[in-house]
Amino acid sequence: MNRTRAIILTAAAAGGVFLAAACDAPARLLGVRLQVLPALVVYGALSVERGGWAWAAVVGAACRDSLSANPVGVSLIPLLLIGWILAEHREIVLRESLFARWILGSLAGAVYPLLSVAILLTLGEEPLLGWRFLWGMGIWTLSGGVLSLLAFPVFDWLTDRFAYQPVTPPSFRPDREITRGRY
Amino acid sequence: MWKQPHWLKRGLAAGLILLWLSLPARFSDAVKTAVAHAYLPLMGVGASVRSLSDRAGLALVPRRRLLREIERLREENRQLRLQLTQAEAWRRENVELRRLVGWRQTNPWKSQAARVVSRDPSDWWRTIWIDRGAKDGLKANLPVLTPEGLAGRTWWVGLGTSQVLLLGDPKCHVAVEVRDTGEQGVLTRSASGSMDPRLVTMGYLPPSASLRSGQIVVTSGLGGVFPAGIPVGRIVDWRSVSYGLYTEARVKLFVDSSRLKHVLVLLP
Repeated sequence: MNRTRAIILTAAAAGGVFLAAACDAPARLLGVRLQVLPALVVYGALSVERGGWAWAAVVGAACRDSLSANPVGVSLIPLLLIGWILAEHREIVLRESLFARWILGSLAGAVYPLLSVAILLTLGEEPLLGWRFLWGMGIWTLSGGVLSLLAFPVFDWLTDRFAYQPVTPPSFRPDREITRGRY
Repeated sequence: MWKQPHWLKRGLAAGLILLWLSLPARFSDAVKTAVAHAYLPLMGVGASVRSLSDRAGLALVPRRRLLREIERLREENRQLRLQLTQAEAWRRENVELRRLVGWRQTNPWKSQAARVVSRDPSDWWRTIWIDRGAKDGLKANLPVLTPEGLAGRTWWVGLGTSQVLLLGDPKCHVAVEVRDTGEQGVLTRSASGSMDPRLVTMGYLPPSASLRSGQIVVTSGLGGVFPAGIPVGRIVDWRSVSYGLYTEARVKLFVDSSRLKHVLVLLP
């Protein structure tokens, strides 16, 4: 089975989490750090076969919670939930439509922090919630849509470059060969 | 429905996640350690890239400005040497007086410089990662400072990296006092009604506290984690809370944590 797309997505999830933590420029510009995982899960759930997107969600969530003060596992549930819902309905989602990508990315970008914070509150933690978080929700919703729009062409291009193409059967069929006689 | 294999798989996955969340802290710490160590090379590369970009930026600074800066630093160095000589005389006097009165001698703190290599990817916590760990003598709950004032305390310490809780994080409580009046309180978390990350709440002040805007807040030394007298911030405003039982003030921190690049960890 061709697993290149899932491997690329998983590597991007781990690298994306680190970049979000290490790069200060977007945070200084927007006031909050960008979240790449929801957009990657949206792409993965709509494009990667046989649940390969779940690896990206698991690795990305583990990396994020390890670099963060979150208890390990808090980011996993929202990502798996978003991915599972999308993967269940992938046949009825117009994957090629830019509008659908934008809306799904935005929804994932909004739902992911909300669910994470809800789980933290359930676990008895006291995350910082206030005007800054509300501002962040707006940014994460918008950036989720934009990153989702970017993820589809970028990862499709990467997969085309690195994945082997499926072998197409040749048009030659021995049973249809015309065997000529002498005349 | 439950006899279908995919529902069984999903149920198993949900069970594993719940089990994972309820694991003892020892196991989740082990996972955190493993993943954080996997990021060590990337953290090193990130720090090198930042250092290179800083140096590239310095190459573009005009020579005249650099000379002016050197002159300013020389002057500052002279002033600081003078203050150091004076402080050394006071320290010796303090040691002598403590010996005469019979008080316990205080040990001088050592410091360990560290570079900020990463920040918390979640915006609902305020933590940073530094490139010093247990092999450099660090352990949990050590004060972290900058020349401007207190920045936070060490929280999770790995072999070569550590996570620092910054002031304003809900897990970082600091016993503080107003320098002029000695009113004591506790610095708790970022002020929720503000977008400014440097504004934090100072709670549990007495209702009769005589506060003024601009008063300097320093660590009180209570609690045992932070030594007394480290500058923290300035009082901005205050209000009465809990039906007049306490006064709560907003403090603007001296340290801008969003621009931290280097910190000092105080070692006992």
